[in-house]
Amino acid sequence: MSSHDHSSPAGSPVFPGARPRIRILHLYDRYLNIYADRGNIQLLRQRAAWRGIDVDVQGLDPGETFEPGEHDLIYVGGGQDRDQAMIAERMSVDLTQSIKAASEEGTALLAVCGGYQLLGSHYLDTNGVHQPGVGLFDLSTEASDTRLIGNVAIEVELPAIGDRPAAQGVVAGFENHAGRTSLGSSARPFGRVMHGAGNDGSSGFEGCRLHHAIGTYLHGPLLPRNPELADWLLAAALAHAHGSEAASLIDAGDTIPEPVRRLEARARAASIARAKAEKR
Amino acid sequence: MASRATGREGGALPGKVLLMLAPSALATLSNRARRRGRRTILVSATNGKTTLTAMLADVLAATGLEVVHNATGANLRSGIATTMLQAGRRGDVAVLETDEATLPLVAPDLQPDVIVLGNLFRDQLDRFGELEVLADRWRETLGALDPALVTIVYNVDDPLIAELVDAHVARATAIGVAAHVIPFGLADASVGQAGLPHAADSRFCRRCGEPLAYAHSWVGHLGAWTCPNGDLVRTAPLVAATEVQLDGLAATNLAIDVAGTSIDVRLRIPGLYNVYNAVAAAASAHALGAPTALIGPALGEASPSFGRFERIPVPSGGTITLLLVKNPTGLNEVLRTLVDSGVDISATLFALNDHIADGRDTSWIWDADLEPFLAKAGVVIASGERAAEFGLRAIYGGLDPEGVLLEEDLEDAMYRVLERAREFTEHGHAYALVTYTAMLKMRAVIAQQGWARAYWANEPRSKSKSRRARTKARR
Ligand SMILES: [Zn+2]
Repeated sequence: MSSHDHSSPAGSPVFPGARPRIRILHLYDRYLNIYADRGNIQLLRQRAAWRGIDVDVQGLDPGETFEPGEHDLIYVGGGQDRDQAMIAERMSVDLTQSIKAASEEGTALLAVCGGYQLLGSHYLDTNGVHQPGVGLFDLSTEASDTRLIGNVAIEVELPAIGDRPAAQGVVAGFENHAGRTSLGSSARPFGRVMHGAGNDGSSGFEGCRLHHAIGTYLHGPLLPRNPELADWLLAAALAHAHGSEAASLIDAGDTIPEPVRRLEARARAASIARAKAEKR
Repeated sequence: MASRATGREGGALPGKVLLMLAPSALATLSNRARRRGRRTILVSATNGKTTLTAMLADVLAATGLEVVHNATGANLRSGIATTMLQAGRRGDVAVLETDEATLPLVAPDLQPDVIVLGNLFRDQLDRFGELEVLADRWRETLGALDPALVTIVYNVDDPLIAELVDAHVARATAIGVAAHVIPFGLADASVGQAGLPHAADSRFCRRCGEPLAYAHSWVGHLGAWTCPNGDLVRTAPLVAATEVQLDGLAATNLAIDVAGTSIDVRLRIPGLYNVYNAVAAAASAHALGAPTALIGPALGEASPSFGRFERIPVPSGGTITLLLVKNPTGLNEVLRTLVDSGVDISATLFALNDHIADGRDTSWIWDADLEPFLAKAGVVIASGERAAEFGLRAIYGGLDPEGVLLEEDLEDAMYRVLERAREFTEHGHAYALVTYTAMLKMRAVIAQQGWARAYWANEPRSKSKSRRARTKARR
């Protein structure tokens, strides 16, 4: 594993002339990797590269463990029900401590769909099997016999990181889940549903956020059509890697190619328009 | 129910009305024809079922049978009812393309003599939720049929399908019946690849959950697989492509072993995935007792179905080739065929729509391996209602951001790609990768321009061809 110095939770400062670097851990990448999870990783890598930031992505297989603090951003994707059931137990036994400790000391985290469910306290799957969760988020999920499927738009608030200001906005994506997720009393939703179902189709909540960790049902993939969210995650990762003053490095310079900005705006508008128009 | 509209309903109105008036009409029509000796064969798969069904109909017609075929691709219950209604008691065999979710709904009524299970790829998860849900439905479908009366022709290279057929055989054995099954597959390792591609959908043993071991894979998770614990074993295919030589976009030369007799085929529909369709058609024809010697020449006559590697000449010179794409594995195979063929792909468009028939969830384009294609194409016109989504996919897949030409309107995009073909390529060949509703729309524009027949004109063409083939076979 990485030999990078992680003795200081504030991370190491970026010296003039040195390139900042972000270390991403893609959990169970060979099992939890559908619904374009690969796109989210590709995006983080490329967006960072456009800003002159290096990115290492490391996978983790079931049975392996990691040291909290060794990574700046953890990504947990989704899997088909069966793949998810297969690794739930493994994950809760092997990684509960590390994931909680990593989030506690400021590691950014994004968990999508199945990965989101696995980070709650438990998941009762479609076969009535009780799958243990990691318990990072105070929430639990029960499978229903109907799936919530469609385009979604939610309103979110992303908190300030260092001197990088807080932001509000709309996040758009696609949801497809049998699980109905209920937030516990200490949990805060990631967003409020404008169009679509969200956590359970009735509470008006979507996802969950704790510190710099976000869990959500939105894929599509999530990040390409929500670049502000991608930048917030990268800012959080930079803050973890190099101290909170490094967070705004993600906004430095006008380095995103113009065609990308244009396509992002179109993709996002189309996604939100669909969410708005869909009958439910 | 929205999912009903996902398969294809074109030309299905008479059947729809009939089923509304008489819900049991399908069984009645089927029983009537069976008493006259007509056999029924249902063909299902997530990928390639239209091409496979057309190939099989052609092969059977070449053996002198009168074939009833839902050639317009209306593959839902209503479309199948329409085909049966229009055929009356006519025909020696009904070859019915069946939507994968419709198979469980029609099999009990039709009591098919043969069921062909082609493949199960992740396709429109927004529709079924999960691939395994579909596999479970198919398992129940087989379980409800009398194993003594039905023959299952199946792709043994697909572990999901092999597992459910294995269960079918075990169930039959338990009640003292020998199940009739015909496994087909590939047997030429030289066209396989080591390991599994990213989009592989079925990587784990359905019995023990361990990752399957692959000697090699041919298309997606279709390959020479085995369970490390021996729960499931890939039996040797009875009908197999033993030699495969891909000859660019022109053709594929094949040797197919049909239960011990080898036949040579020059298949004029490109791509390794169409080799599976040819082998499946040969296995299905064998299941119906077709003379092996007639299968090879008939497969050699098969031409692409509408929108599937369909090359259309344009009056200003050059051509446009329509390539239907709809899920990660299908897209991977189309791209692989294009890139490996060595053709000039500087004039290419990708039209992404997200209606129910396209898949409302566009995330599948991220799960396909576009990178080799993008590196070679350099420039791609992005079109359709979700064009921007594709544009982003292309850029994050390594395409220069200036290489995405956004042209959401399909007709404009088509003219633009033809213009590029004239300007930048030697022979003026343009390629259009299109999702289902985008294909229909583009095909309509092409028909309007008079460059090619309209989409639904498919049926008479294939009928007259069958008649010709019949005459030939009788001579
Ligand atoms: Zn096994």
